[in-house]
Amino acid sequence: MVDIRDSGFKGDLLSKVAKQADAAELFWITKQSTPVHFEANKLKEIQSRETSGIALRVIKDGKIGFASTTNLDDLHVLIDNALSISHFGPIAKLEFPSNMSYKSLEVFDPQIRQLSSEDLASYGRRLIDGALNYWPDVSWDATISKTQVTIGVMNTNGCNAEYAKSIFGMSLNGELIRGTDMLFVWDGYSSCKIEDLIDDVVLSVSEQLDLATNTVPSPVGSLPVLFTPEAVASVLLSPILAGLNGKSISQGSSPLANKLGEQIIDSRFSLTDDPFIGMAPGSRIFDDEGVASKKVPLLVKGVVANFIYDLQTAAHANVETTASAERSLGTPPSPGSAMLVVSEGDSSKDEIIKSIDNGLLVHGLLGAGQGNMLGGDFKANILLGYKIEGGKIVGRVKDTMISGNAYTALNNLIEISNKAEWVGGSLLTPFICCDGISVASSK
Amino acid sequence: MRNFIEDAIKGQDADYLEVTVEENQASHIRYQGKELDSIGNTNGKGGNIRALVGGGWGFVCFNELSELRDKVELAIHQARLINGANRRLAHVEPVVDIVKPYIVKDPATISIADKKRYLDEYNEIIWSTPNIQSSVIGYQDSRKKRYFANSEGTYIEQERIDVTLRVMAIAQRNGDVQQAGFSVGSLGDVSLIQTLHNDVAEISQKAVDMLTAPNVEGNQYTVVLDPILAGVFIHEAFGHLSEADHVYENNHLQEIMVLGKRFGGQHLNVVDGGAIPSLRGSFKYDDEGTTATKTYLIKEGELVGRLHSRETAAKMGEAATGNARSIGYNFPPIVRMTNTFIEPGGATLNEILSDIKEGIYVKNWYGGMTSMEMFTFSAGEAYRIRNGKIEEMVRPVMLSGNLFTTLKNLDAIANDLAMNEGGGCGKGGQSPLPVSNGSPHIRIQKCLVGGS
Repeated sequence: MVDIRDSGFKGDLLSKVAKQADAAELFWITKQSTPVHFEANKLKEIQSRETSGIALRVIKDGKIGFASTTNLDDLHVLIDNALSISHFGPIAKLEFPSNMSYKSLEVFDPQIRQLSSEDLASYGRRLIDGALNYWPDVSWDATISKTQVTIGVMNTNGCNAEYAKSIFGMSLNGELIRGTDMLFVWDGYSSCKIEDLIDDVVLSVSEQLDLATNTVPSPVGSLPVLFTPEAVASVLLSPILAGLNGKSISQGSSPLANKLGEQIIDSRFSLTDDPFIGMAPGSRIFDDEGVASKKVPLLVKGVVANFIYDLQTAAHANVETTASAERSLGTPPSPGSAMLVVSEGDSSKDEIIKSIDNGLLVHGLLGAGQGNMLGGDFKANILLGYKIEGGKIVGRVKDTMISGNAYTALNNLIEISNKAEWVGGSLLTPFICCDGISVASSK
Repeated sequence: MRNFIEDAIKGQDADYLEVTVEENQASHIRYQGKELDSIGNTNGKGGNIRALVGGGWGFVCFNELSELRDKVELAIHQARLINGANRRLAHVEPVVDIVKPYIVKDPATISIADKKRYLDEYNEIIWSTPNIQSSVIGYQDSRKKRYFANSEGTYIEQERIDVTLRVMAIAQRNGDVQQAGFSVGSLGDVSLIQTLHNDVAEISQKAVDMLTAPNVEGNQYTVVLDPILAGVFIHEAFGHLSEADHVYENNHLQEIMVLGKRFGGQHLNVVDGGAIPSLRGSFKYDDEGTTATKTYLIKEGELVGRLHSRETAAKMGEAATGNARSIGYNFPPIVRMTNTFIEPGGATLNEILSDIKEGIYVKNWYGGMTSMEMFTFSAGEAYRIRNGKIEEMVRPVMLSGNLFTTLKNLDAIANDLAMNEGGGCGKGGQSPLPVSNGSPHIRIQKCLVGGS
C-alpha cells in the first residue's frame, strides 16, 4: 500500500518517468474535511471526508501528456496513461520551474484540527439558535466545517514543495415562505483560522429579512444600481476576470487582448491579486505548478496592468508566469486568480444609498454567469434586491431582471464604498454603485 | 468485492448501513482556440459509507479502501452524535443484481487519435469561417462502475458510460465578442461525435451573424421556445421544485406543493424518470439501490407526483421513486432529476406561431438556474417573430419567470418532442450530474426577457 504522504515513492515515481520522458511533474492533493449539516433548524448529518490523488504531467518529444488517479495501488497505469497520451498532446511551450525559495505565509491553524464533530455541531447550534431568536418563522439550514488540505508539486527540474492549509467555515441559509412568496437570505464566511463570527452572520441575515419584509414594485429603465460585495463578484468581476485570463488573451478572444497599459474603466477602480494576505483561504505560498506566489496588480486606476498566466499560457505570450496556475486533480493547470482585492473608495455604503433618488440595491442574482460573459455582458434575475427611493431602502423587488456590460458599468461608476468585505475566502471588495444598468420587471 | 463490502457491515450496530465502492476512468480532449489545450486520462477508485443511527446520518468517504470496517464504525459514531433527529427510510425491496452498461458504441472502440481527428476537423470548420476569433471544444467520456451493498441485503453492481461534447465558436469585431455553440451527450454512444460537421459550420456562421444582430429591449414578450430550450425551462421552472428534499421539511412548501394543485392548463403533462431507457439520465437502480421509475409530475395541469429519495418518501408518506443520485463516491446521494420532459401536444410549430403578432423565438441554451419560485434560463439564439413568422436574428437573451405565473402562461404545446442530452445539472455542490431534458416547441405569454 502506497501512502501519498510518503515523499520517497514520489521521488521514485518521478525518476522512473524521467527515463521515458524529457521532463515530468507530479502534483498531489490530500483533503480531510468534516462538514456538519443542519437542515430545517435541526442537526441532520455529520460527514467525514478523506480524499487524495496524484496527477502526472510529462513532456515527451515536445508534447504534453497528462494523467491523474485516486488509485495509488495502480501507479503504472498513471505513468502509462500520461506517456501514451503525450503523443497526441499539446505542444509544450512551458518549462517546469526549478527549486525556488518561498516567502513564509500563515494559512494553517493547528487548532482547527483539534475541533471535534461535537465542537462543530455546537457552533452550528449557536448559529441556528441565534437566527431563530430573531426570526422563529424562518426555516434555517447551516453548514459548519473544518478542512485540511495539503498541496504538493515535484518535478524533474528540482522543484519539490508542499504546504498545508486549514479552513474553518460556516454558512447560514434562511427560507421564509408566505403564501407563494419565497424569500431566501444567506451569509457565511471562511478563514484559515477559527473565527467566531456567529453574531455577525446572524445580524447580517436578520438585516436582510428586515429590509425584505415589504415587497414593492421595481422601478424600470436605465437606473443606478448599488451592488453588494457578493453581487460585485458575480456581475462585475467574473466577466473582467474572464477577460484578464491569459488563455483568452493568447487566443485573442478577450476584449482586453490588446489593451495592456490602456485605461478601460473608471480610474477609481483598482483590482489586485494578493496571495499573501495571512489566514485567507484564497492565499497560497506557491501556485499549483510550484511557482512562488506573486502579488499581481491587474487593474490599476482603471488601467490594465497585468494578465493572469500559468506557465504554458505565459510561454505562449512570451512573458513570465504570474504564478496563477490553478488546477483540480483531474485537469491540467490553467490560469486563475488566488486572492482578489478591490480597492476601497471614499463614501460609506449608507452615504451612497442616501445619494440615490431612484435605483436598486442588489445582493443576490440568479443566472449571472450565463450568457456572453467573455464580452463583459451580464443578465440576471434579482434573487435578493431592494428598491432605493429618495435615499432610503423601501422594500424588496421581485420578478425583476438587470442587464448590462461590466466594462460599461465600471465606466459609469458612481461611487465605491470605503469598506471592503469578504466574499467567500478569496475576495475582498467594497460595495460598488454604477449608473445606467438596464432594469426590466414583470407587472 | 461483494464479500469485502458485506463483511464490513456485518454485525454492526446501526439502523441502516450502506457501502458504495466506485472505480472510474475518464478521458478528455479540450481545445481552446486553434490549438489543443489539454488531453488527458484520469482513473480512480474510492468509496463511501452512509449510516443511519437513531434518526441521524453519518457519512464517510475515502479513496483508501483498506480498513473498511473502521470506516463503517466512524460513520456510525458520527450518526450517533446527532440527537433528536427522526429520519427514516421508505421501504424498498432488497435486490441482488449485476447491471451491464448500456452501450451503443463504446468510446473505447475509437482510438484517441480518431477522436482527436474529429475534433480537429470541427475546429478547422470553425476557424475557416471569416471573423471567427476563437473556439472552445470540450470532449469527455467516462466509465463508472459502482458496487453497492446495504444492511437490508441489497447488492448491486452497476456500470455506466457517459459521453459529452461541447463546441463553441467565438466571433469578434471591434472589441464586440459574440459566441454560439451547442452541446451533445449520450449514454454509451460515442458515435454522436462523428457526424457534427454541418452543426459546427452552422454555429460558426451564427456567432458571426450575431455581431451585426440588434439587441432586444428588456420587457415582457410572447416567446416560443425550441425543444432544447423548453427542456431547460421545464428542468429549471418545475423540475427542481419537484425534488422532495426542498419540500419534505417545510410545511409552507408542502401547502404550496400539495398534490392535486393546478399549475398549468389541461394540455400540460410533465414527466421525469430514470426508467425511461437509453438517455443520459437513465439507469436501472439509483444510488441507494431503489429501482428507477417513471414519475408523472404534472398531469393535465395538476401536480400529481414528486421526486423522492427513500428518506424524503418516508417523511412524506409517499413511495421512493428512484431519484437518489450522487455525482461520485465522494458525495451522499440526494434527490435529483433524471430525464425530465414535457409531453407532446397536438399543434404544429406553425400553428403555435401563427397568431403571434410580435414576439421572440428562442433556441438552444447556455444555462439555467432556479431559486424554486424564480428561475432564469439563457437562450443560445433569438429571433423576432412578426405576424406569425420567425424573422431576423437578435442577440441572445435571458428569460426569467416566476413558477406560479409562467406555467399558467404556457398556452401552447407542439407535437415535436425532442430530448437534449448535452446538459449537466448542479445541486448541493454536486455538479455536473448527467441528466437529459426535453420538450416540444412551447409558447409562453408575457415572459420576462432581460434586455441590453
